[in-house]
Amino acid sequence: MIIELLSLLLPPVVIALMIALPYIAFRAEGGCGLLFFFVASTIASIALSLLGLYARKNGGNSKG
Amino acid sequence: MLLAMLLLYIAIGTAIAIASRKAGIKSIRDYYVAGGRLGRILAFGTYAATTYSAFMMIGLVGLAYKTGVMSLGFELLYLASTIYLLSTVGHRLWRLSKQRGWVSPSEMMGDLYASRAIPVALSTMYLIAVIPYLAAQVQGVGVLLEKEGLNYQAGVALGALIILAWMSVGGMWSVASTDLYQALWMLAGGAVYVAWLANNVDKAVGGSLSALRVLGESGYLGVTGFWRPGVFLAYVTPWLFFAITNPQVIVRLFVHRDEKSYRDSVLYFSVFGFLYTIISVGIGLLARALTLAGGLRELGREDVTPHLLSLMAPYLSSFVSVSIIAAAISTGNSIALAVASSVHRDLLAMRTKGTMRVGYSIAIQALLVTAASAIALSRSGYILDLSVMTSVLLLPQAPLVIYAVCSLEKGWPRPRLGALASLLAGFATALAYSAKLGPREAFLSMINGLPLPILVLLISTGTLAASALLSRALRREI
Repeated sequence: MIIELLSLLLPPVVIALMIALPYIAFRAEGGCGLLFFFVASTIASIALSLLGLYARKNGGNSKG
Repeated sequence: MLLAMLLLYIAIGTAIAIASRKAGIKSIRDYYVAGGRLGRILAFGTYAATTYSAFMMIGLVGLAYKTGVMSLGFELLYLASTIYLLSTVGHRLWRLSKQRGWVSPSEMMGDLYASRAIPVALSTMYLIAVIPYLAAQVQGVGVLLEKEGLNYQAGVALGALIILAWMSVGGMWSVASTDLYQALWMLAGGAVYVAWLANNVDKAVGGSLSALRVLGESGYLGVTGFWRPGVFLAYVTPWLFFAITNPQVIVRLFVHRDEKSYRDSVLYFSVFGFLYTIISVGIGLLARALTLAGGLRELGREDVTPHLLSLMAPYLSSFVSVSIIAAAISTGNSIALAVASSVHRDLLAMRTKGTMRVGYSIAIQALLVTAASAIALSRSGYILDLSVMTSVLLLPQAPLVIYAVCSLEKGWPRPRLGALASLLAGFATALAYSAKLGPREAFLSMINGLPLPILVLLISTGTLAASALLSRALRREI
């Protein structure tokens, strides 16, 4: 239940941060911070989404 | 060399397409969505090859080269959002498709809102919005073959012919089978391309870490002037909802055999998408590092990949060129098949069962591909701009899909007239600005301080929300 809830709520938050943070935290960035931020946050968001997908109960009708 | 590689690609793909007919096409649902019988590998392959088009290796490489690391954010945001949508809304829609036997994306929307008008409106929207996207794929084939010394018109014709042939042979079965084959070629081509470039950057700059340092010092690893907040939002917004607005990917929610097939295909796609994105943006950034180090002249956005291909050994450039052609073909035939299913089932209302109707579908597919080829021959616009404008036009579908799925669980009313009004209002706004400003300018324009995609999303969401609230109030009154 907790995993399903986290996987439902957290990815949109990560996605919103991926849009907003470059303009707040990385505006004058000259190093690799923004690159690693995009990669790490994408992996985190995908992992959470997949965790929710695999944790979700099979609602039947799977054989069509 | 390119001709030999192209012939090899076509021969293998054609053999796969013909072999896929063994799956057996007994109904129109078999033809359009493989009867919901695809296993995880085919389902993954067809989703990956359909989603990632020639834009990745031409448009995105050029965008990264010109504008830096924010293009990585733009493309990874698409991937993160798509996996999220596939894990939530998409999963629910797949289960519903098993119960309801959906064949086309417009049929799904009509069923969700119990409306006959919505599928007709959506099919018409697909025809208007998606043909430029299909044209961009055919154009990509023409441009690539032209750079290799072949005639542009012949390249467009060859692209159209392969799209039509591999699609019509076995419908979704032949498309999915050739898509898997093409997805593997795409990834291998991208890997060869980035490895070749990294090797050259090593010689010119002295290693990947030095390349990162050069890029960082020049500002390409930060927020460059191109990526103003409004521009970033304009690029990102239509792609965030791509998985539930574009017919060729919506229809791929109906193809999975069972729960395991669905889940595993999403997992495999996430790995493929991540690798392919890193490779595409990596190529653009490495090319920029090479230019900064003086090893490559300044190139235009659309010229980066064609120019780099011309510097490779012929056997390498042929392999990579064919991988990009594969990306265009696999997206092209998936678009045409999905739109044909909507036109066939919902616009022309041909719902009779039986394989005889496949002939009508092939005729519709041929018309769509011919129209797209005619647009491609005019050589108008950037591939990226055409592709993004398509998604802006289809954006009004996003609130309808999300609301329908939520309302099924919560028991909220689904107002059919409000849904239709929401769809038409958003689409008309996007279309009006496209016509007024031109597609390239429209999606980057700020209207009353808002990027066009945000405005379209607000209009369609607002219309739907208002009508849903009204329906709820009326239901309480009664």
